[in-house]
Amino acid sequence: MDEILSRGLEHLGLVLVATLIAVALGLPLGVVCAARDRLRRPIIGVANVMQTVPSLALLGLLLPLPLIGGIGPRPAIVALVLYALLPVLRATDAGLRGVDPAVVEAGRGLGMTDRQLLLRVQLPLCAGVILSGVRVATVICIGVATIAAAIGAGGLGTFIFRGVAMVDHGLILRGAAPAAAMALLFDGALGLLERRLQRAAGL
Amino acid sequence: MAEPVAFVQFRDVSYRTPSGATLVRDLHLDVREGETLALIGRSGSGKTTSLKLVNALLLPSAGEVLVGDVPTTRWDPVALRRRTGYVIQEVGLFPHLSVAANIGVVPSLLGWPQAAIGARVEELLGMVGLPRGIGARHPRQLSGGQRQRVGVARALCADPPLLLMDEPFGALDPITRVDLQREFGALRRRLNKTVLLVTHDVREALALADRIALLRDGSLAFLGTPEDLMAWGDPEAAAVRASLENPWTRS
Repeated sequence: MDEILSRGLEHLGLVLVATLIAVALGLPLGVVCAARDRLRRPIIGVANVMQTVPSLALLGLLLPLPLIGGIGPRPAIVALVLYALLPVLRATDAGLRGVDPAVVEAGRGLGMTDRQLLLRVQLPLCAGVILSGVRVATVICIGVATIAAAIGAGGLGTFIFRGVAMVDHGLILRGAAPAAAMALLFDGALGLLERRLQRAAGL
Repeated sequence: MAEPVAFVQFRDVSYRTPSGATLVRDLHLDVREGETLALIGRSGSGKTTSLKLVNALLLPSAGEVLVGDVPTTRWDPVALRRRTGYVIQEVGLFPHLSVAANIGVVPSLLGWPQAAIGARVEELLGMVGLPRGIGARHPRQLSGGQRQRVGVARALCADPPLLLMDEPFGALDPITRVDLQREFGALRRRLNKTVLLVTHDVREALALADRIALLRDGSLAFLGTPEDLMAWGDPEAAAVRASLENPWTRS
């Protein structure tokens, strides 16, 4: 039981760090995509390709790289960020482009700078949509993080790999069940927050 | 009598879209200080485009638009817009902000102290005939007529000398519309603003404007007082007058 808790916390740590970094990168990139049509395709294209690389292969490919490679949580977090980037990026881009053009034009016509328009009008109005991307990213991370145990990053995947090796279903479930519960919990909580933000946006 | 001072001057202005369509053609027109000039015309005649050329949401492809003797290309667009009240066609209230925050948005951009903004918002609520308590509500909780009033109050809040209004009373039921037009008529005489009003409703133009400009395919087809318009012999004038008689377009 103690080990489930400590592995669970390890897992949670990987997921939270990776999601935060993905938001920190994906949000500004999404803003760029929404503002510059010409950059949208290449940026989303690259994020899309990241998503298609099988997770175990991605971890293996990252291992030998200098700075981000090596055994332990670092390459695992990099891999999780690469997976979480697309949903955040895409939701930000779609959310911003979905803001009512009449409202955007009113803001511009009243004398808002681009920055004021973004911070005071566009981002608050699509915060719910962006959060839906963050929610998807978090759930993906919780799932993919189980594989990170393969490169010694710890987390709940440790039980799963050990269980598979020993053909011990109980051991597999000790990793799988808490991971699934964590995913459901985050999905529900972020979904709740998302609906609150939508209401605050007056939509 | 003193020569009227032109506040906004269109100097042979043309506007072409990036795709090559000409929306405004050689428009030459003055809006005099303190007058209300209505731009009328069919859909696609260039009314809204002309309005956006004034607050530099669009820049002319040829010619120039002068606001207070300075071409819009030389104005800082943000400064120009903060000095120009703008009532947009679909109202465009910020759905996530309270009514008070919506009305006070330009003063807040200008960095007025909170207390001054609050006092000004209160004053405007009264001016446009909204109950005081409505400031804390959100736009979605208002009726269509109340939203239009908030849109007008927002445009007036920083006391701009020039007001651009794009179908400000559109999308309203006929009764509310006539009420709002009457109130606005009284308000603008009191405030002495220069107003450029875009409308497809000839009645509205006749009721509110000192002069009327009729646009046809992006060009100025007629400019004169409401009385001149009614006496004008052109076939387009007959169409304009007919629109007054057709009960289906009456609003």
